[in-house]
Amino acid sequence: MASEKQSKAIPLSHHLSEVAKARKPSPLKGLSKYFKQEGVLSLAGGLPSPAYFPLSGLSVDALVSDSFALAPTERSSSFSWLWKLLGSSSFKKERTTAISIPKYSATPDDINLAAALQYGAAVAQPQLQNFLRDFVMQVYQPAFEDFTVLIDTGNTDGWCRAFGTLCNPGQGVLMEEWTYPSALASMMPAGVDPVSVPMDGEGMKSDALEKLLSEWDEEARQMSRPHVMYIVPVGQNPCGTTMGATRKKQIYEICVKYDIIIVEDDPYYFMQLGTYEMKSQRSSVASPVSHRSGDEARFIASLEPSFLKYDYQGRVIRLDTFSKTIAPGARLGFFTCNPVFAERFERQGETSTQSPCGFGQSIVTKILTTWKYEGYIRWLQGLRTEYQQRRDFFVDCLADEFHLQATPAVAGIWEGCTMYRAFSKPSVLNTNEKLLSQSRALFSFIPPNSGMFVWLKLNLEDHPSFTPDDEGTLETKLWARLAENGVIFAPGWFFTTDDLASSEPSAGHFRISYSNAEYGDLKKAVNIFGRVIREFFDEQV
Amino acid sequence: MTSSSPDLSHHLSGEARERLPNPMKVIWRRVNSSGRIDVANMANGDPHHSLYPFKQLMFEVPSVAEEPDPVPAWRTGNCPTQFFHSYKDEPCALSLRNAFQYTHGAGLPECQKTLTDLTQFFYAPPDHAITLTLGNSDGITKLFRLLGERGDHFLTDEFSFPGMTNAPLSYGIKWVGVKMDAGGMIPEEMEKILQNWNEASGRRPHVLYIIPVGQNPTGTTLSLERRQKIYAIAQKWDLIIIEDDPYYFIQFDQPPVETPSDDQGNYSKRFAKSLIPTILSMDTDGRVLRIDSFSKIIAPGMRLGWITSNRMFHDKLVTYTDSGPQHPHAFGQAFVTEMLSEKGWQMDGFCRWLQSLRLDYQRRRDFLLEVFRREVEPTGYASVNVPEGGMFVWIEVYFERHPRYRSEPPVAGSSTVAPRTNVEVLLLELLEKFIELDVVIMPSVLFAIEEHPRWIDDGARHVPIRDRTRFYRATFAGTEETIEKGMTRLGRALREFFDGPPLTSRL
Repeated sequence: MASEKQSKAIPLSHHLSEVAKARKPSPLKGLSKYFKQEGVLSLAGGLPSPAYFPLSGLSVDALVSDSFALAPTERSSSFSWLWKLLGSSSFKKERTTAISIPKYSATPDDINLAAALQYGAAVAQPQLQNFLRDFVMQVYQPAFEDFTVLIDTGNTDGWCRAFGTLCNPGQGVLMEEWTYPSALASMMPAGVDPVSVPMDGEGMKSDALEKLLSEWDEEARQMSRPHVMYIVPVGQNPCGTTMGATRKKQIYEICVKYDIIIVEDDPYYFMQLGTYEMKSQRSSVASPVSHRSGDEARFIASLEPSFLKYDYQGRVIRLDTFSKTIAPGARLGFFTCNPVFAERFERQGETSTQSPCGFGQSIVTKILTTWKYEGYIRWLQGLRTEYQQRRDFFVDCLADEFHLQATPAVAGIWEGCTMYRAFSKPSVLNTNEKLLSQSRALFSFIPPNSGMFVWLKLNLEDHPSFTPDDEGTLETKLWARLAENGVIFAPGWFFTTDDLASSEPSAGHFRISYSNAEYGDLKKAVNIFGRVIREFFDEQV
Repeated sequence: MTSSSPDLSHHLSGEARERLPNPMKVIWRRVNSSGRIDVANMANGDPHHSLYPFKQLMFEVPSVAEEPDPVPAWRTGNCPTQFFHSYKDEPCALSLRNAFQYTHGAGLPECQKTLTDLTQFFYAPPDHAITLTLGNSDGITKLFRLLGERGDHFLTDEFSFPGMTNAPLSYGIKWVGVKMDAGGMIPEEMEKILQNWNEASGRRPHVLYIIPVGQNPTGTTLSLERRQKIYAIAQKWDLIIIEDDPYYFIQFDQPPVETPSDDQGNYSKRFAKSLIPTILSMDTDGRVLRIDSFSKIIAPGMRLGWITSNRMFHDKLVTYTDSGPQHPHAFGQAFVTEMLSEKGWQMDGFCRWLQSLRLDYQRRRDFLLEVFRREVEPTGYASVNVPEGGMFVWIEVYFERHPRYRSEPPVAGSSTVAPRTNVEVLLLELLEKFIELDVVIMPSVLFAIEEHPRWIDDGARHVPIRDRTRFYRATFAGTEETIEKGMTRLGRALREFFDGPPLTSRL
């Protein structure tokens, strides 16, 4: 991109909602230009003096950036889960560095509590802003010149501000046919409805999108053609699919053609885990991988690009969050978008969340600036490996508990992926292949190549109590049965954007997260799941 | 609410009624309230706590037990310090393991419990629940969305804080200002508006927004009697009261908190007794939504506060938060939970800090008043009120004494709200003069709620607010040097503005 002359974002302010247009800056801020005048005494504001903040410093024991290995360090033993359990963090001495944030810093360039804990504009502390701008430039490489970075309190806040700024009641948003429920739950009460776009193994289908838009009938739909898209392109929530560069370019060009703003919600971007391989096929060598120069650039280059990379018009609003890379409770994230939208998001922030918590901003800034860009990328690489191990371990558990059969998926949301069908395992006494072939598939799934979730499709049509169009009832019954036995999955109905148009009409689903439970509990949960689902398929309910 | 409390759900906006609980969070609550510890929750995308990049947070704070008046000592760097510790792997009041997970909209259970206890201790509301917020702007915006419908009118003080009153405007909500005097909002004036309301201009206001202590901008504090009257009117006219009270703990002119040596541990009780009862404490109906914040007593940038409300509103707020901006950050919740815990300040230490803080603000207020009396009052062109709380004084300027002051008698048939003097013009001209002399204070026109003839009943006697915006808001939160110089310049500016430039420069 270095050689190409970048252009600025094209005018896109016609996308703003009525509410966003009506939002005015706080009139008090109009006077603020005088405050900066040399020698001016202000008795105008209501800011408490930092001398009154009952904090003189904040210290943090922070992990070092290479806390986690670059590649899985797994031993191929049938007791690997036990080994992982014993080897888990509570037994491992974590390496930390002490970092501290003073109340007053020697130079204003250093982050300090006096500034971070004061009322501030709804933008980031300057040190954080600089770090993030550089990070966006290096990692996502936006194709338009005047991109702006603005912090928020996480991606749900980001999405709320995005649709509030872009959508009027009665409008629709293009979404993947299965999507993140909080995105739906926040926009629907504001009168903004989802418009479902079919998916395959790479996420949203570009041909289906083109068809939907070209055939849009305002009369029949009772809705103007959508001008906003919400999409989770990496580790799609809940399906776990990831969109490649070609598809992204196709979708971007369709959005140019139909003048659509793309909201790219991308919390799992750095958890691109690669394809799952059966345990028997994985390399059993546990040789530690050592760090080499240029690793950061290679890692970044190995990731599927962001929509920003193709965004020569400035029509992408990218949402990033520290929830998965630092911690959810940090409630810190950031937008990358054109300056016109950023200004409106800032206005909206001024009257709601204001600037994110000063403790969080200063701690995250201090950790990031201590690690530096290379260190943070190293941290992200380590996290990816941790999640890769978790994904592999969890799918291994499924392979231990069920008989898995790999088949290429030819249609539906997994089209183009290797799908695994799970059967009851034959008992030890009866390993007859013929009997196995007569047994039922209980469910199917694809091991995700990104993110935190396995999306599992229940084979409910083989259930003795199955009646068409009533899968929801069976899904809920099995969900409750699992909950009674101490295992909680997220039921599929949470995630649907459109019951009728779904390309998976006759299936129940669960979304299973392998990100949080201890390894031993993952194993135990799969055992319980196995027992409960086998019993469930054996009975009339 | 008790069984006799009225059903108030008709106050909810259409949006709030339509909002369904976020299903993800319903599961979260179900798992957490089940009491089972062996549940494997694999429904949420929570990272494992071993992947958080920190193990411990240490907040260095003043050691309030060691200093009888800690705030002045702290300001000058002469107060001993102590630490609040938050750990991931060691026991503490709010483990970082729990604190940094996704939680639900009311806040982390440990912090919610801490703040419920605090609310109970100071306000003892009849039957209420608390919801954490990101401070007062977040809290108020949520309440506006919860209660407001496009075309609604809300009541507030005729001079109010535009940072808040601007928030609902873009959602189509309008304000009706209630007349004030030196004691703040006049309850009888509020009742008049409700009584004379013509439904042709929209439904009768059903929400009242007030700042009862150290009102922003006027610095007024509502007396107990006015609070009771306002609550009674709210009951009669079915109003919801938003009690926004960031300066509650900064009340002045209270007797010192005496603690006999044999009465240790009761400091906080004695401190609490010195505070004026909140409207929330009277709220048998559940019609008060109270907003508290740590911004003025800890630090604004922490962005943490809470709303106390009846349980129906609480549930709706949680639903809104779960699907919107999400629960507050863990950092602030860890701080306040540790602060009020056994290993922290506890309630007694917290109240020592508050008592010392309010005395410090009181000394600053007194200093400002002293300089004002010396430098400004002798001009004969302005006077100042004596606020009983908060951070602001309200300076009144006698523009009728200006040579260019103009006034016209009301003309029959003309608008009752159109200005009949040039006060507004002079107010802004004087502001220019202030800026010329390098001092900035806020002109009252920024805070004035626009009037509409429809809700002015005594048209003939009514003085339009645009003729009454003869005030400036000044803060005494700054340093003594700023106050001293600022008031001196103010006095000079008034003289030059009213009497013309000094003789020397006229030559």
